[in-house]
Amino acid sequence: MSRYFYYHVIYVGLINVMLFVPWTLVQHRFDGAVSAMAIAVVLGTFVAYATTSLYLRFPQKSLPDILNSLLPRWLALTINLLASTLWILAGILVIYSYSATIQQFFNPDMNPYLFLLLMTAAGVWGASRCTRSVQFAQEIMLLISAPLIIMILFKAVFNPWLDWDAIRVTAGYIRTPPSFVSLCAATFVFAGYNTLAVFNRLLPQGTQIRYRWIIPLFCTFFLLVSFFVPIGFHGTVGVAQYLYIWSVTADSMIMEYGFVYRVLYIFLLLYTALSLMFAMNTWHTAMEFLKACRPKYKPDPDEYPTPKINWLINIGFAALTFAYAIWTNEQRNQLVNQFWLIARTFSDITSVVLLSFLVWKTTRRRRSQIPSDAAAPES
Amino acid sequence: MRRAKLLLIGLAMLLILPTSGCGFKDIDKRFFVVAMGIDQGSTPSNYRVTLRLAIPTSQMESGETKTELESMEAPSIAEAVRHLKSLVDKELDFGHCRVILFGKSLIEEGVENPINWLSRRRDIQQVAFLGLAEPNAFQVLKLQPQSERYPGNALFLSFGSEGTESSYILTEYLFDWVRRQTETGKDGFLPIIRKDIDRNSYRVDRVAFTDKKKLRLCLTPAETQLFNISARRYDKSVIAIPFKGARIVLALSQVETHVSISHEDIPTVTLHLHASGFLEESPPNFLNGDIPKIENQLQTEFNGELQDLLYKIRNSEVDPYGFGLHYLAKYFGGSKEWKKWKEAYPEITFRVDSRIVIDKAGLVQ
Repeated sequence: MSRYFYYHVIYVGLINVMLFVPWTLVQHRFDGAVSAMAIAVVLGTFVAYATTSLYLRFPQKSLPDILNSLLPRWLALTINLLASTLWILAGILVIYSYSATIQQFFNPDMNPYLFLLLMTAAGVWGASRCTRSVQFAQEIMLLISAPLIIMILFKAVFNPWLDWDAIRVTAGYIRTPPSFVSLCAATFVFAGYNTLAVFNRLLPQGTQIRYRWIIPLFCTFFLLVSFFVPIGFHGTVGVAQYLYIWSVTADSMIMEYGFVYRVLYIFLLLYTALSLMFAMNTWHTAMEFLKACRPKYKPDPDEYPTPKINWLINIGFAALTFAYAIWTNEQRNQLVNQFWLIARTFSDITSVVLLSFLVWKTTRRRRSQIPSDAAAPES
Repeated sequence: MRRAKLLLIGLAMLLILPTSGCGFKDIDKRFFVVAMGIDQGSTPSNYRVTLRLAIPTSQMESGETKTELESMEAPSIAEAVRHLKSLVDKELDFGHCRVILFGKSLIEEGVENPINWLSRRRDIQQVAFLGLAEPNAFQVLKLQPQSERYPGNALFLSFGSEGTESSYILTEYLFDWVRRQTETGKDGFLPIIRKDIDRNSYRVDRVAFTDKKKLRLCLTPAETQLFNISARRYDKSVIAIPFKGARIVLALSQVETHVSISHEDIPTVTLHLHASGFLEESPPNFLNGDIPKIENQLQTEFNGELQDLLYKIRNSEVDPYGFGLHYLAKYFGGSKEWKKWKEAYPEITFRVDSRIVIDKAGLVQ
């Protein structure tokens, strides 16, 4: 079952392109991005190991379930609401940047809200399914896009036009003190473990998540590729001028005998799938957090038929996406992205602390219960 | 429930209506730009933009393709393109523009503005081929070679490895050129495209080097080939030397290069090159001859030529090989090292250390 967990790790590791992670890192490439990345590898791995181990202590329980059962109601409610805000925003940001990219590269004459409508419609439909369906959809979509992922990564890393000197020059700036925003941006690549917040419900009792070295291995690779490959293609100085940094990088590769010779279109196709997957997951998670705020909430990962509330909540998310699209522009979007990346880092560390506290609390309660149970028959 | 479903399907169907693709313009209402030329206008502040537009035809015969050439002068490229739209009956589409030529006088003046336009436009491919047109882009684009099967394909088959693969032709992509324009310690190069004397084909056998601002040096065809071998590791080329009254020609099949730079006040750049190939022309009874002796002679000859070329390039203050960047990469240098390198560059020494191996003698002895 743990393979489902790794699907999350992989697509979250890849979606960083749409959340301006490479852009943020590249802006700081001479003042602290590289050292921040080195720290992020250690920190990200540690948090990933800690979070997964902690969730496994609560088999078949999602984060809202854990909070509801172990914390005072007002505190659980606050945390659930805060967490859902963070999750909603993730989906909104990705959908917005993706539709902006598409509009930029496919057809600038198109009404920007039209594509947003298509994306949110798909997102609403996907996210309103039950948890198990979302998980299965995940697997199918990731397997379908796997050849594209492998092809683009392969083409990028082994491209003869990739300038390894530029990469080496940038890597030399590891001696600069790390920058905070870069650290937050770089740890995002490791953040796939977060989806356990809801999907832990589907892991049966006694599940072991084996091969956890996959997380540092794959995520470090994704992080290095998404930062260094654009630098290798556009140079140490030139790389900073691009806004849609990976779209331009993908456009710098060609497939001479391919069906379409511009890799850009393959790249955009792949990110259609990944962005939809990401939106589906984040909105589904946010929805579960919101639903858990009701007093008489009963978790059910297999609810069928889809309750009306799922639709309503997700349509609300879609409306928020439109509101965001109307309010935002390129500068604001980048600010919100950076803010989100920072907030997410704090929330991850907080959740590790919170979960360790709850684990400690339950074990203490259990320990104090055992003697009293044992004492009971005697009296 | 069923009615709700039907309603939902109906609504979903409605979504099809606004998606009619291609920004509401059909393919037969579009003009595809296959090549673009940017020249200096009649006054120095003006640009002359020339577009080669493909006219779709039903037959696919060589020499039967039709293209239209439109040209316009304006103070900026964007304005010229806008104005050009009023000369044609269909919407211009740059999505298939695979060749962009700069006029020689434009590059001699400076190249910053055209680059800005080219990298800002999202529909210009990053993998478009660049070239320097002599005497100007308009003259080169006017040529319609007989061998063209698709509109404009003679020009772009010259580059890349799709069509002809010649060691005299250097391929430069837009993204690489833009990167070299800003990169520390690496300068740009552009293949020079001329009309052949018979006016039926293009002639691409020279290369031009630019620094960050303008044109600095043009190489001869022989030097161009040498640059292609040593800088781009181009392996479909030949090395030729005179030998006992005849000529020995070695066709390369593999080239590997490696640059090492010493960390002194005046650094020494050593270019190690390992090439192997087979003989295409040699005096008869080659096998009886002394192979190591021929290899040695090839090496000394090649080293000398390449060394001369490197000094020639150094003396015109350009660095198309990227030695500066390699130096920074090697010693993980920052701005201080870069300053030091820039000061030392006019005086650095070059050494070429080549190893040329004759793999096979061809089919005859």
